[in-house]
Amino acid sequence: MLSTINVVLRQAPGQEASVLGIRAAYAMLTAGGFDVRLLCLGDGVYNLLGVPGYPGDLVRRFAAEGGTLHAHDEALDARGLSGAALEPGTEVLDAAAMADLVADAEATTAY
Amino acid sequence: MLFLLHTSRTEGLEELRILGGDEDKAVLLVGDAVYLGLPGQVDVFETLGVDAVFAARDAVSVRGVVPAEAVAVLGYDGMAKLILDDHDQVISL
Amino acid sequence: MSRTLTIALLSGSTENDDAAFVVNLARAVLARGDAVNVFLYGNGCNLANKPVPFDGRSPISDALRGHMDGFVLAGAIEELAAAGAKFATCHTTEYSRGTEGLAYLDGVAWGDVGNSYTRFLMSTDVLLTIGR
Repeated sequence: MLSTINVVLRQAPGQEASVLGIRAAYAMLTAGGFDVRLLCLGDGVYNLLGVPGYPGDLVRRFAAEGGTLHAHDEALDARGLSGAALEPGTEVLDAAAMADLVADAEATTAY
Repeated sequence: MLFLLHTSRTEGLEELRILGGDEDKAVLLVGDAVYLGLPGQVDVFETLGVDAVFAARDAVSVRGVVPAEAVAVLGYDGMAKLILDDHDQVISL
Repeated sequence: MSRTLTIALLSGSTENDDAAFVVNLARAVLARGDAVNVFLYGNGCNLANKPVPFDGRSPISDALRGHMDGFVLAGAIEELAAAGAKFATCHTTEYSRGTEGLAYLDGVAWGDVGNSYTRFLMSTDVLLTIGR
């Protein structure tokens, strides 16, 4: 059975898939009681840039309710972004650390 | 760990590298992802530490392509077994 | 012991073959005696509704119709639901597409990510998200 779930965001906030992933992560955390992490790779890191309105608000509520936020360091570097620009509490991780989060979860689902 | 790729986007390979780390990995190619199993592209999986590559028979057939010899072609029964029985985690990219 | 696969399907009927893959995989999973849940999310919710046939003359060539028929999944979805697969929509994604009030295929339930989807996850062994 599932206990810890990673939700991977790979697309920028303007893509519906990103909002779907954030909504799924929030629901799994708050309605399902799962331990949920949001892993942002590639363009997915843009979702952590303080996006205004519903999508960004939901990311912030997700973190406030105990979900954890993670950004891939290479994705940030490739886009000229620093960790300081991201939602407070976002953990910037290298690929090895991202893989560790995947290995110790029961499910990793990508949007 | 099984990675199920369903598009031909090569960004999926980078995502596999990041998420798969040093874990034992297999890949199942379905839909347009079967193009990644063609002889000119399949070698990348070895560099990613992937031990076995599988491709969906119907996706191969409808595209009229011939996967590399190292790619095992499966029907849905085989894919269901691979997904439900053979790996501790299945990640779709 | 029976295993349960849950799939969040983000693609609809025709923009790619993701939905056809999910339907065929679901059929194989049920044939093994295992369980499958499909959450119709994003464009996946476009698969939820009863088709509305066109009454007039439709100049689709036989070849093109044969090609397009591969994407017509309504009958397969109803068969899978009758065989025990669970299908639920995300009503929010239906709302934005203007389809929330349309008739559902037999066996497809109005749903949401906070209830239907998370309930699916409670008994899930393998979780996939298919679509883009």
